[in-house]
Amino acid sequence: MTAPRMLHPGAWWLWAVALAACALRTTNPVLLSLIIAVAGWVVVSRRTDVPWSRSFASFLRLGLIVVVFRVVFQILFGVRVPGTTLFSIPEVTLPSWAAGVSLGGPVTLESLMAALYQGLRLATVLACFGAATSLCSPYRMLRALPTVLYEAGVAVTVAFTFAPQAIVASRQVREARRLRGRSDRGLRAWSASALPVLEGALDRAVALAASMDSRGYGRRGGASVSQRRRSVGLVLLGLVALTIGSYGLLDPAAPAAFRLPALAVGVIALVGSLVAGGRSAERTRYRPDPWVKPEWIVSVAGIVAFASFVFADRMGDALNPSTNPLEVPAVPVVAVLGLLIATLPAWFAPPPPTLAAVSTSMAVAA
Amino acid sequence: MGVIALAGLIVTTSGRAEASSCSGPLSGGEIRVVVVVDSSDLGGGASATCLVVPAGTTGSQLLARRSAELGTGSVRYGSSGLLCAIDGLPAAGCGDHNAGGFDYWGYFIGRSGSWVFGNINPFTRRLSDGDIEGWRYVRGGTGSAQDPAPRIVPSQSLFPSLRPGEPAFVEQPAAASGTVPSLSSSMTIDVSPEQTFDSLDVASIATTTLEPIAVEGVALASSRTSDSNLGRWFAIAAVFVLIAMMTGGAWIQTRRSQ
Repeated sequence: MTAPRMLHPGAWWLWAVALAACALRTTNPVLLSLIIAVAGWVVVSRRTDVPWSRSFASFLRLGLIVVVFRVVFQILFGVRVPGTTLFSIPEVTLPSWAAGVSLGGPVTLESLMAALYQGLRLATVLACFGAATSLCSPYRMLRALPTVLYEAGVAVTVAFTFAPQAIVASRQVREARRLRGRSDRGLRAWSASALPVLEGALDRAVALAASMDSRGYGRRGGASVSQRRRSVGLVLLGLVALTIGSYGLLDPAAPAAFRLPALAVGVIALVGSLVAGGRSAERTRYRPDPWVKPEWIVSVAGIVAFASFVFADRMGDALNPSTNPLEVPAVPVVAVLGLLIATLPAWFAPPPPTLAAVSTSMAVAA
Repeated sequence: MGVIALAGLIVTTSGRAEASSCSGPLSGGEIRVVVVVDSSDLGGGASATCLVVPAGTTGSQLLARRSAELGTGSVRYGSSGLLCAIDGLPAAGCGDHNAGGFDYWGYFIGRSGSWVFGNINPFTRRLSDGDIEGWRYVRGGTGSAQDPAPRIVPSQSLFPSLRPGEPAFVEQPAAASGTVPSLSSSMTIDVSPEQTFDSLDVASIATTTLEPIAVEGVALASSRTSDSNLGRWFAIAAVFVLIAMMTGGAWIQTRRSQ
């Protein structure tokens, strides 16, 4: 057993994104449930004491809402598909220009199951991101980001810290409601606190970005105006291309041009911005997080799981079980084994230091 | 239960003989519709089939009905509900990418005398008397009105003429040069892929009692071997035991840490 320390946040994110990519490749409810269970098990085994480590449960709840919405929307507005009609809701005949949209009509078991599978897939992706948020500190993630992203400083900070800040803010709003003697459960409490939570989370993220800015994050150095503009343009191009490329990589149905070519364009543009800025050497890092054996184990475990899904897909295993006609989903053994490998971080990642241990070590150091 | 009476007048050698009342009197709540299926691009042919169905039948029920009457195998749907194959064509694949477009079964509506691209869901489109439905397998199509329509032109002459005394449809000039025997009760016109309309095969089909179409999907699902289903259930149970163990372990860990 390794000594308690924080794992490199990049390793956790890589592992979680790999699991999310697995989820995007399948609609098999058995595999999706297993992915959620794997993520949950690792989170419970290796999370810290900090407030945002409770965010996994919040993401699970959000996922449940997503599933319910998906099914209800299918019943009300979904495309009508043939199959076993369970019940019918009143049908509105729409004018011919609204062809293709249906409002009401027969609800088939097949359409409900398809909606359930798709909702579960989205819920699983949410759970994976919840796992990443619970497992690592957003501040450490910001520190570990490559220098080129500093140009997009505020946007990156908000993107990475909004979810954990929202968890912290929702906790505070609930506590405030309880202190005022109001209920903190139920739909009314939820709707009353939604706006303050969103506002608070954004405020905190922007405040963090501002404080980082004032400490030199995203500082432009001695570059001239034209140099600066060029590097900002390249960063923008690179980020857009990277976004498209990662979308293409995650979605198996995307056209081929959106995959590796887009990623390559993004990387080239980002490297170009580094060169154009000419200030890659100006930064130093205080106590950088190491990337050693546990980091390798965690990230490789995620990648192996993803590879097992790609392999199972190539072998023709039922990653997307048919819902029309409805069939009992098969369980691809390769994919299950890959997901079991993804549980390895629960044992091989170093346990995070507890708050008590941190304060003791600080006391010793002092 | 519907009783299918084999009392038809057989005109072609290849025709399947089932009796129909497509040229006979309609009882209350029945309508006459023609469904055109053009699989020429897949090596099949183009055919027009007249069917008597209950009023309110949907486009997809009509297809299922046609397959049942002609005995050409049930219609295959994808998991999204997309129609993949009619008459077993194509044997595999469903709306796949091809040459910048898609290979798919295009849906057309032809009441007006020319085909209109049907951007309507056949599962909800309710047919009325005299409707003509068209399906054509399109290669590399864009999924829009520019895609080619079935090769048989929709016209009321696709309906066999009624016996004297029956209300007839307004006849429109027939585009197909073939003549339709007026005494056949129902018919199937087969056109070869080369689009020759001279050789019309006319089959006669007769059904005495009609019933709403049973769901095809259920029959398909249950026709899979039950052995493999049992194995699948065991595999699912095993995975869920695993999930239960993880969830239980996680719950115990959470309790202990609090």
